[in-house]
Amino acid sequence: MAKESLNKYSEKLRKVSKIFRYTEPDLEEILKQVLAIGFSTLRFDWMEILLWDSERKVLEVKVVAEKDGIMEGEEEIFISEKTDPRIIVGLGREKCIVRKKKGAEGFFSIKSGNKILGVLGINNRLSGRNIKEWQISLLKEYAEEIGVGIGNLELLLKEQMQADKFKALSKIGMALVGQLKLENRIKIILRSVIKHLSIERVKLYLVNEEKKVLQGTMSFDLRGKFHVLKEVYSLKKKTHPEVFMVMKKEAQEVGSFGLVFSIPLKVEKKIVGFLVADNIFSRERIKKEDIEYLKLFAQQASVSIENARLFNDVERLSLTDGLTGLYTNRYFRKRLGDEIVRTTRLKTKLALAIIDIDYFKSYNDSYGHMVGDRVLVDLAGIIMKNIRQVDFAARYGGDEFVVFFPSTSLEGVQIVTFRLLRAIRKHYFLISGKKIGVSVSMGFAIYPSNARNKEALFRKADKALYRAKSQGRNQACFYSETLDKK
Amino acid sequence: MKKIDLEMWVMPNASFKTGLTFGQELKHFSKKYPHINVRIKVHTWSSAWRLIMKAVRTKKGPDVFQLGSSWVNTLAYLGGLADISKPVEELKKKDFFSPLNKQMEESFKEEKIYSLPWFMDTRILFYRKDIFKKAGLKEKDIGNWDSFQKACQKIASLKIKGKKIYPLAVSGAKSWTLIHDIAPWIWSGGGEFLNFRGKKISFQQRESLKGMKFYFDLVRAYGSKIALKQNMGKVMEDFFIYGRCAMHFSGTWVFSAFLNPNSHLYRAEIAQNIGIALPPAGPKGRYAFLGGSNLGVAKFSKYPREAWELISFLTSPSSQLRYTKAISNLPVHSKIFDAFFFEDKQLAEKFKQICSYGKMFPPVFSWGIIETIMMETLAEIFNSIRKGRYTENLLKKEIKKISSEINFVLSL
Repeated sequence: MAKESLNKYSEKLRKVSKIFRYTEPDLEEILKQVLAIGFSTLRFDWMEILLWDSERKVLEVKVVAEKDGIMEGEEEIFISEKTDPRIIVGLGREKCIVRKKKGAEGFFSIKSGNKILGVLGINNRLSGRNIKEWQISLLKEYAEEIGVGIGNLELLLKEQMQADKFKALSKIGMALVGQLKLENRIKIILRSVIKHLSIERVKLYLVNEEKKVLQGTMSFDLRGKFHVLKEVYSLKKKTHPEVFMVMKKEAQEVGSFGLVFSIPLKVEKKIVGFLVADNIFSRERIKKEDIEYLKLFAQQASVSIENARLFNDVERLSLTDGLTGLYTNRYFRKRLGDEIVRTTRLKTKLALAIIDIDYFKSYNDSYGHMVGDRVLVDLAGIIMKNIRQVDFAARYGGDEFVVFFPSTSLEGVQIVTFRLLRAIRKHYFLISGKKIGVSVSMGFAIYPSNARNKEALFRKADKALYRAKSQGRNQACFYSETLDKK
Repeated sequence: MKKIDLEMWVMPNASFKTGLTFGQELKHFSKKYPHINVRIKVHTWSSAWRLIMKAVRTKKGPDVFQLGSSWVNTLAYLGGLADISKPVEELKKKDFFSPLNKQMEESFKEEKIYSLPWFMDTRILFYRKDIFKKAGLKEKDIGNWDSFQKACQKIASLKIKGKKIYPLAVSGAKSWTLIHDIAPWIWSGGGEFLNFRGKKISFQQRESLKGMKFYFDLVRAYGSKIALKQNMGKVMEDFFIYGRCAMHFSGTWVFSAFLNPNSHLYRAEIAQNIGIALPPAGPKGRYAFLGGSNLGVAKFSKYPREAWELISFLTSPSSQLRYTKAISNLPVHSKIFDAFFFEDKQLAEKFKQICSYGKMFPPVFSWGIIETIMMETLAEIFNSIRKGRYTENLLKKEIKKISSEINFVLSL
């Protein structure tokens, strides 16, 4: 072949590098254009580009060129097919394999540096033509150009990805600073994992040291929806073996397919929770670099969650009474105000009860303040046990408690009152081997039947309490207009 | 009319050049809808799922998907498929869908419809009439587990032209159809893969193990030892060409490849010797595995109306008949079922009967990975038969080993 003609072909094939440089970084589209150049220049019956999928250990036929056009490949060659010339070249056992005779075929490695990325295959099986030396040298050149192009593209994409992820990490940091509430922080963390990493679903579990349980908080997945987890697992009883699979001391794969990873959230070596990420939907192994980023996310998340928990604790302490654990009077009044608005809107009724311990002072005087405190704590527990989940109880101050019962009728309140009085009457304390009982007086008022606002409601309930006390204590009284007259 | 470009992703079926075969079918669509240009992308079955998931995630991809029937739930759950309930409702009134199996109809009872069945596949029990005749057996002699085992015993003692005959040709440990072959034995033994809520594995329970044990015992005692080591091509050769194996479970494509006079693999003397039987009934009934492909419109498609036109066309009787014939899968449209079998009513009736026993895999969205985990273990058990290490205890141990992993996946 004349040197000029060879140069002409060689120049045509060099367009490959331009395609890699100037086309949008979509590998499949680029390979189609690249193979189209090779096919029209070298004119074999069949040409194909195969690339390694290193995780699945298969050579994927990415693009095929034949007389019908340029098409996507439909074939995969497994690494175990050791006698296939494409695997031989793809594994680097031979640089290239060429059969020159009629119906020639050839396979050339596509490399970037020392790394084999795939194989370029050609054949003339249909026409039965052979292959010439100049074609072989052009094919080697062509395969080399493809290798350099793919290598550069991969590098570019990797750099882009790293830059994106670091940017994401700093953004998350900023976003977390702006949120104090635990729930909001959890949302930011979960959403960021899905947005910036190749992860399809992520769940967050937190260790509750007090209750010795592992509590599911929230999950977030590809659909872009948060899902509140109601899972609670005892840390003492291993009744759910599958849950203990995620409780690892270090970031670790769960199961054997690389689809689930569990990353512990640690604060000063103490495990406060777990991030569980999975790719169960696509069944695609979680990438090593994503695991590294998950660890960085987890580091940020751990501190951030712990801070939010501390904030929650502080908030909780300002709202609750230190002795009994019930809400404070201040918070109770705020909640009652909100509930009255809701009751008016829904046109329902609300009952308010003030509960006073009979002769409480005598407990303190006779047995000391320690016993008095125990009476208060026990009574708070009894109240909480016997009211409904929607009812709201608080320590009003000293030996008084308050409870409001939303969306309830007089009959409904009477049932609860009866239950509560019975439970209190049954309860006793053992002090120096002596059984000591306790009794309470209760006053009730109903909104809006008895009062039109919060303050009036308190006044009316207080009047009813006064009546209960004056009638001999250890009983409940409901407000009625006759009490005003008296 | 404004020109519209649609993209559709399809997967290869059997050994046909899908791009070209499907391209031919699309020419008919272009005649009817000249303003819609359809670009096809062919993805291998093993890479398709990954790419579809990527498309769902990035909201960039085709307008229309071909989907394995067990994929639909996951994609609908993830919001990747458009709701096509309304247009399907109109088609339903025309009695469009096959009454062949209840399960396909069941899917229309759901509130929303996300895909249309395109074609289906089932596992079929093929048998060599010549070997059966020599053994004094008839089709009815392999009607249930007991008689099937006895027939195997009888065939195993045969020699034809001095050569030993294997009762069963099995596809080997590497075959991706292994779980399709085992499923009917599990179901007819009274077992299930998952519990009725799909929240826990039932694969390890007594009834399921019973079916698996029966199948593996058959393979150990009567499976072709050559085929166990070899690939699918060797299995086919042994069964169809050399007549060394008496029975073989395989897909419908075998019918079109070997029994269809238009196929280049067709040889009259072989075709005459091949019979088709119902799957043997077990203690809890008769079951056949049923799978197939559906078509769905991507939720992010810019042209959902045109995408619907495309899937409506492809699932129409005329298009379905042409394409199923080309790729050798079964049509889901009852009206064209007989035509698919070249008007051989008896054959069509047999296939209809088989499909009526059809059962699909549980519709849970994590089925894909569960199937992968099960397949790995089943392949291990298969290998243990080849190496002579198989025992009932080994089967129980291997299945128990994967139970907690599958339960963990289901708990996620």
